[in-house]
Order: sequence, then C-alpha cells, then structure tokens
Amino acid sequence: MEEQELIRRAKQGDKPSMEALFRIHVDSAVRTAYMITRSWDTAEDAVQEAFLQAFRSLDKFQDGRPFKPWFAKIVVNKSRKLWARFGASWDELDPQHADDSARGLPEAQVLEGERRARLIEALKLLGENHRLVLVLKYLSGLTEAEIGEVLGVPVSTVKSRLFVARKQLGQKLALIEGGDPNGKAQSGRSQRR
Amino acid sequence: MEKRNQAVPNEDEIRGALASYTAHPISAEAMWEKISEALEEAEPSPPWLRFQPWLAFGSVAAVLCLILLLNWTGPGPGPGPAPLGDVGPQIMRFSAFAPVSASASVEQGQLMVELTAASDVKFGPDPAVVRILTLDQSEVSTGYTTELAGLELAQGEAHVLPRAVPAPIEPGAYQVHLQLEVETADGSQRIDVFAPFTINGED
Repeated sequence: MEEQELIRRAKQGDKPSMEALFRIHVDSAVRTAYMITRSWDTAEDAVQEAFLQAFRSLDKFQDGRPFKPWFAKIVVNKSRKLWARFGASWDELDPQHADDSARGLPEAQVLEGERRARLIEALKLLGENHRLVLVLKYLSGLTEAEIGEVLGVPVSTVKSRLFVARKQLGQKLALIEGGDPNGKAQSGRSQRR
Repeated sequence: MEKRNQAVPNEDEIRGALASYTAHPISAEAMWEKISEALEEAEPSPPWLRFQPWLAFGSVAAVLCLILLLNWTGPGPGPGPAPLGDVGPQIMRFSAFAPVSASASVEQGQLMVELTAASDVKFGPDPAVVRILTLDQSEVSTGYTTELAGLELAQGEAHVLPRAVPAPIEPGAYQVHLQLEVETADGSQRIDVFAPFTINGED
C-alpha cells in the first residue's frame, strides 16, 4: 500500500496503517536519533515520543507531502530535547564494538573497518550543526531540500553546511590518521592499536 | 597511502561509516507495543473540548486579561516612569508581545531552553546572546549560539536549544535573557525574551 494511503487511513485512526508507517520509518529514525542522543536507549525513547506526537498530530499533516522529512523534524527535536536533558558523551558508548566485529575478517576488510572507525571519530569532533547535516544526508537519506525543511533553514544554508562539514571531516580525519600525540582527536581505539 | 589518508572522505565512505557505526539491533517490537498502548490509553476528548472556536476565544480572552493586568498601574494618575533599575514589570510586558516565547528548565545540571513561536518567525544570521540573570538583574553568565541562524519556525512550533550556556550551580531563582535577531517585513530587529527558572538546593 502506498504511503499516502497509509497516512490517509492513519489519520482516521486506523491502527494497522499506523503500525505500517512505524515499521517503514523506525529503523532510520532510531539510527538518526542515536547520532544525536549518543545512547541507544535514549534514541529509542526519542523515536517513541516522536511517533506518538506524529500520530496525534497527523491531522495537521498536509496530504500529498512526504512523511519522512516531516517526521524527521519531530525526531530531531525530540532527540535534541532528550540529549539536553540526559546527555551522554561519546565515550560512554561501547568501545569494544569495532574490535569485536573485526575478529576473523580478511585484512582488507579490517583496514576498511579501521578507516570507518577513524571517520566516525572525526565525525564526533565536528560541531553539532555540521554533524547533523551529514547524518541527515548520508544516514537518513534526505535530500538537501528536505534537510532544509527539517532544520528550518534555506537550501543554500544546507549546501554551505554540507560543504564545510565535509571539508572539516577531512581535516579531522587527517589529524587522527596523522597520529598527533597531542591532538585531542586521538581516540581511545586508535591509542590501543 | 599518505595521500589517501589526507583526502576528504567521499560520499560512499561517509555513508558506509555511518551505516556500519549504527548497525545495532533495534527493539522495534517493544517500541511499537509501548506506542500502541499509549495510543489506546489516550481517551477521546469530551465533546465540549472539541469545540475549538470556543476554546480559542477563551484563550484569547485570557491572554488579553493577563496583558491588561500586567499593564494596569492602579487607580488615579500613574506613578510616572519607573526607576531605571526597576525593570521587572517592563520585561514581563515586553515578553508578552514577543513573536517568540521561551521556557527554561534545568535537567541533570544542564540548562535547556525551549523557544515557541507565537507567530511565523525567521531568525537572522547573527549569533543569539544567552544570558543568565538573577531576579535582581545581576548577570551570572553569558553565552552565544549560532544554532538559530536562519532558522524558521511556524506558529506554535517549538525549538530546543540544548546547553546554550552552563546552568548556575548556586540554588536560587534565575531567568534566562535571550537577545534574538528576527527578520520581519520591516527588516531585521533584535528582540529580548525572558524565561524564569529555578535551581533547587539539595534537601
């Protein structure tokens, strides 16, 4: 069934249509929320609250418009609110994740995995605004226009933030891969290697 | 190899890294169960609550009464201009007309400011000033945020400013003073918005 049809039925209180919408969007929403809240539990709470708000305010949703950016805006706001309330630093996350998943893999894949881990470390060093546009584009899969809608900024601002974010990401990555012993960018994972 | 390390990561690399980093099982079933329960628990509104024009009229009347009360200076001729230092009531009146209202709270030692648009509003490119004041207007701390630059809020829409400035440590009553740049049909102008909050002492 098409998404617009699901939305039309959900507006009338049809529970199976709400559940179908939930299942279409929950995965991407939780991963996006996690990149803001930095905690899986908080991310799931934020997305739960976001779905409740979305379903309760579906009557305000304009027919024919895509659901994803409208819902992503709610998710981003809820996630920021919960992160501000409960907080969590990146260091509290599971540091064994990459090490465990690398066991038994061919060297090329291990190297690729390490490059990805360093890229994530670099991403964490970006300012929130720049990190968020990268997350919305490359994780949530939103277009630049949709990101503008989510953040309430013009498309030109989104493009500019993406340009700066990618440039800064490269600089932070170079700093990490350069192994600057005094640099704050040196992660715990890199130090162990 | 060195050249590759220095290069700006391409789109596929960023996409792959994010996908890999967020590869984590999600408790979708438990989440849906909770959402479903919450939706069922929400009782339908009684018919009189659904009569929204009546509610809207009541709300407008209440706001008008509040504004009149805040501006009422008592019977007879007014006392004249308030002394320079006595700016409390003026702040209240000014905030009542601002296109944006704010509420502030402290959660787990972090100050959280939530802005709600009273009408459609667009913020200017300049950084917003965030001050924490005591109730007698003494400045506790000041910070700046570019978070709002270019942001547009529709009427009734809220936006959270997480950790705009560190929360005070001393228990007591405070207020957040936000100096915001908004763009209107007449050009850009700076507005002041205030929100009180309290730091509770340990019992």
